[in-house]
Amino acid sequence: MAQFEIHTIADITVGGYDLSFTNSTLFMLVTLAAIWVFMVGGMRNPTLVPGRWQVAVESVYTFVAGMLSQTVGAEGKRFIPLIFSLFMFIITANMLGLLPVGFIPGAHAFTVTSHLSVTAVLAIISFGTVLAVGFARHGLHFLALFVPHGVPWWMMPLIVPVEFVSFMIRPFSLALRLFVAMTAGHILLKVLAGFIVSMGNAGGVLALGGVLPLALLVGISALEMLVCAIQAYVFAILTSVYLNDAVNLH
Amino acid sequence: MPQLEQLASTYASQLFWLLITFGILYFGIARAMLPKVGKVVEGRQAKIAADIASAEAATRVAREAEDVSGEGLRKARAEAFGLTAAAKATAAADVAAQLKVVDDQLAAQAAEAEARLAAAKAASLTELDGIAAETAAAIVEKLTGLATSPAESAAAVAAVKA
Amino acid sequence: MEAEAAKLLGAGFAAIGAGLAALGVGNVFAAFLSGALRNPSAADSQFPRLMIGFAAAELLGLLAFVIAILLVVG
Repeated sequence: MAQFEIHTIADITVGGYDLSFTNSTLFMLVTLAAIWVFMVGGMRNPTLVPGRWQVAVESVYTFVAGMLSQTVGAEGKRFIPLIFSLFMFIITANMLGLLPVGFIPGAHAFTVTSHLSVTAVLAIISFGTVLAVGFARHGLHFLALFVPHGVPWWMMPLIVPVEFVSFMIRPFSLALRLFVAMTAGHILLKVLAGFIVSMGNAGGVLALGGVLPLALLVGISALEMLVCAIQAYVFAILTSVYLNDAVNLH
Repeated sequence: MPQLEQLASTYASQLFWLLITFGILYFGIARAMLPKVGKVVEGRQAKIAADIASAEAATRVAREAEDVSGEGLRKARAEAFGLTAAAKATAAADVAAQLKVVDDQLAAQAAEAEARLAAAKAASLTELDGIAAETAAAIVEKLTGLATSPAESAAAVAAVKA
Repeated sequence: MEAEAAKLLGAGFAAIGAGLAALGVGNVFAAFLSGALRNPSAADSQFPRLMIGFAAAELLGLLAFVIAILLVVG
């Protein structure tokens, strides 16, 4: 569990709040820098026939744009920067947490998105945008979201609370899913790595048996990368589906 | 679980730095750079669409030109065919006329030659009668010692021939 | 029974939920695959729905995992 601990690197206290520069902050900045390098490197001098890097940047753009046009429609273009930011931040932070920087003494990889405080803020950004867009576009009529079409009136007392609860649970499910998926994956990797160490400590023939958990660890690491990408994708697609509710009201 | 144990002590720092980094990401990178990316992507799509459209237009023009030239070719071919047929007909008529003239000449010559042959045959036949009469007179003189007049021997040859 | 032992047992029981979520996730992908093989041309357009279904099924397994972890270390 030590991999999830936050260490303070530089103490900063502003107005009674502890705004210290921590290892979590460090990895947020590394994530930001990685995305910046990726974007600037790909778009340094865009050409008509793109190079590899430019293709990578453009394919992320077309991926996000395609996702929004598929779920929200033509009006989804306005939300490309938001979905792009969420998707890129989550996938980069997830992947950086898997980096094997531990072989440098004293350095530890840290997964920003394995913290509930971070994923909750991301979920609130996503959910807050949905609420803001919904009320700005439809006013109080946005509340019609809780009243599905074609339901007999006497079902309303049952349906409306259910719809309301399922709407309000969205930010929690977004935050919790990302946080738990990252935590669980990292714990799984750590447990498997612990097997290797204990096999090695056992000595003799058993030490050779440590190859088995190592092979498993390699496979699970690949699976974990898939989970990193899927979680970022799921966060982005769910946000755009919720945005569709806000823009088009069912 | 450190995430929950440290939540109370670190939430302010996490929230503050996340809002800063995400704000830079959203306003500094996404809002600032994505329109450029979008412009490049859409520019390429527009260029491809325009190129395809112009290529299609060029194909259409080429097809029309091909149709026109094909029409001309067909017309020219038909014309040339007609000309050839006419030339062939006149040539055939010419040949037939010349052939007829030559035929007539040849026929006339053949008739003349036949007539000459018949005359020569008749002449030689009469001469043969004379020779036969002389021969007969000579034989008679040799066998009997009697002289015969040419008229008598000619009469005898005529009698034998009849 | 000691409270510590009960917590560990509870964590073990909670972990069953992760296995049940595995059934759910497998069901999501199996249904998608059988549908996609019947109508491959429509499969790509339904990929986002596949992911939403997967996310919904997986969330419940992850909740079971959270309960287990909280009982063990919390």
